[in-house]
Amino acid sequence: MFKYTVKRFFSMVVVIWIVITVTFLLVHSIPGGPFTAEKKLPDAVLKNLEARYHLNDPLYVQYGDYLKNVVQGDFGPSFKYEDRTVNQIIEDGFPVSAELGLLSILLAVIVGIPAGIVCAVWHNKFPDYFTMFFAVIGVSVPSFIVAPTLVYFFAYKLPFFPAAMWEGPEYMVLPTIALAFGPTAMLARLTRSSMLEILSQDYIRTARAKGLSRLSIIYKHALKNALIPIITFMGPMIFGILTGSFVIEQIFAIPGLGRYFVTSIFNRDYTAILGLTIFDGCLLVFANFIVDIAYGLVDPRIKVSK
Amino acid sequence: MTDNYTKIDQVLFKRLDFKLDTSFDIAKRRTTYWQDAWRRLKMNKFAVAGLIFIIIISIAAIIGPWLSHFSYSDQELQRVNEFPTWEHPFGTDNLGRDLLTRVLYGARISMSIGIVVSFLNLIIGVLYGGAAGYFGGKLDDFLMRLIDILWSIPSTLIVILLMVVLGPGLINIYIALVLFGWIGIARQVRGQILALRELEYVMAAKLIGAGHFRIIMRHLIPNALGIIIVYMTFGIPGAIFTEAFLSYIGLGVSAPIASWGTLASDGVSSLQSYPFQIFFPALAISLTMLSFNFFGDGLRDALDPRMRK
Repeated sequence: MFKYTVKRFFSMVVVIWIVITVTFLLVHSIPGGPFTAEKKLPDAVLKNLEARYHLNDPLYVQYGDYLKNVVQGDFGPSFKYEDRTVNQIIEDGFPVSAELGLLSILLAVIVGIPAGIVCAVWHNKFPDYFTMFFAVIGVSVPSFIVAPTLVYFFAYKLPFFPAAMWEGPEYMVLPTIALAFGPTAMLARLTRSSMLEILSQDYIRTARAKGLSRLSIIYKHALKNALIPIITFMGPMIFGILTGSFVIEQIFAIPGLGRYFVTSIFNRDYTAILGLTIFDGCLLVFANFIVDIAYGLVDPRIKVSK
Repeated sequence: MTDNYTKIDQVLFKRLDFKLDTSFDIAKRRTTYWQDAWRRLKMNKFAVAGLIFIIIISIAAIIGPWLSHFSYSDQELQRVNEFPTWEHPFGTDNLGRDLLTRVLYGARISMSIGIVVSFLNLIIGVLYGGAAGYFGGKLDDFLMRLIDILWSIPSTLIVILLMVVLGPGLINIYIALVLFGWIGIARQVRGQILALRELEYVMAAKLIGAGHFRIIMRHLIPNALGIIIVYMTFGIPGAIFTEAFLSYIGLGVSAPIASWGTLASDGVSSLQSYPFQIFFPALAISLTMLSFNFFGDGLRDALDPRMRK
């Protein structure tokens, strides 16, 4: 297990390095500097600006400097917001996004997994069809459609919740539901198929033959094993929540990282795009690393030391 | 020289009046794999409904914009934000453009993105996965290591960045979506080929001297076709979804061209006053995604040989 963890750790570092390099090269392949888009500046001013941000250095020097700074956790200045660094943007936005993201994951787990269990237990009966019908809707309808629908009905037509901003618990309800909508449905489908597979295994039949109650078979024997494959879905789920938050935070005007990201795309604020992509990318790669390790720990059937 | 003894004359034979007695025959007519799959698919009502809707929306996408009196970019500034009427069944947008025409035109763009992207992914994925699975060994190790790395890169972020670099536009969307899109199918095909190539009939084909190309194209790919088709069915809505997502954050097709994503994005800004402007594009996206998902689920169940009785 230790060897496996070390191996996974190094492959994570390599992937993060690739992400940094690719994003750096992509952003720097954009024709023109960050100051050419605005009004034509006098040459002397432009020279000074470029010197100030080291843009006149050769690319490999810039790359080396950037890599060194990123390793130290410094993403550099934002070109569009003066006197604001990308680090400050992250410090402002990340706690909000993390709160929204964790709430959504929590909601998805609390609703999705029991829904999947219900389906598997009443397989091919009404509760199964009923839940799966909604699960397919959940998988099919994109979050940027769920969100406006929720706003229209529960903020405009019936003013239960505020339609935008992030200032208290009542502000969290609609964005969390909108963001958790898809992952909940995915989780329900996954739990269902995983449970169905487990319930058809021999040891379940043995437990039944012993005369154990249905409830105890489902909770003590089946569920534990059925949840193992679901751990692997956590990686893609965090990924979905993160990219989903780009849209959700935009719609609900939540001052999170996703909204800053989209804003910096609209503003073509290249350093911010670069920094936020790398930050998000590292976060996801790290989450995947944790999920992989957890999976190896939980399931003894997996040969981790090849 | 004719040998009298070996000469066989027709006269020597007499035709017997023999007819195979089929009255006791209880074996059912043999059905091919595809007939079987089609029969199973037809039994799934949701899948059939999905298929019908996909056909309808495809036809509407092809001929709809052509039948309409309006063009997707015609502005009528005295008639902006009109609620649905007989003349404009879906209403008009904030520039007075007919929304029905724009939704139909958007169907063209979105569906074509879905089909082109998943088709390109299919070709790359089948070639890559097929090569890795069939040849195995060092090549497989190398190709799969490459896939592992690509797989662990957060693709959506790179796609977003790529769209920022390339700028909006249809061709750029194809490029950005294909860049990471083929990986999933390559993995699936590789796994399938890896299992299939050990089977006896492949050995038999090798023994009678069939070349690599023939074995792959005639023996392995047809047997992996089920998986490939199912993947394609889910790939189309996946591509439509990603394009809509990109359009939504301002990186999709450029105005005045409309995709469903840009229409939904335009509609959100006027949600409170003109909800119909998001309702129709949203309905189009949702129904299409739903149809593809129902159809894909049905297809997967129908093509899964383990279900065959």
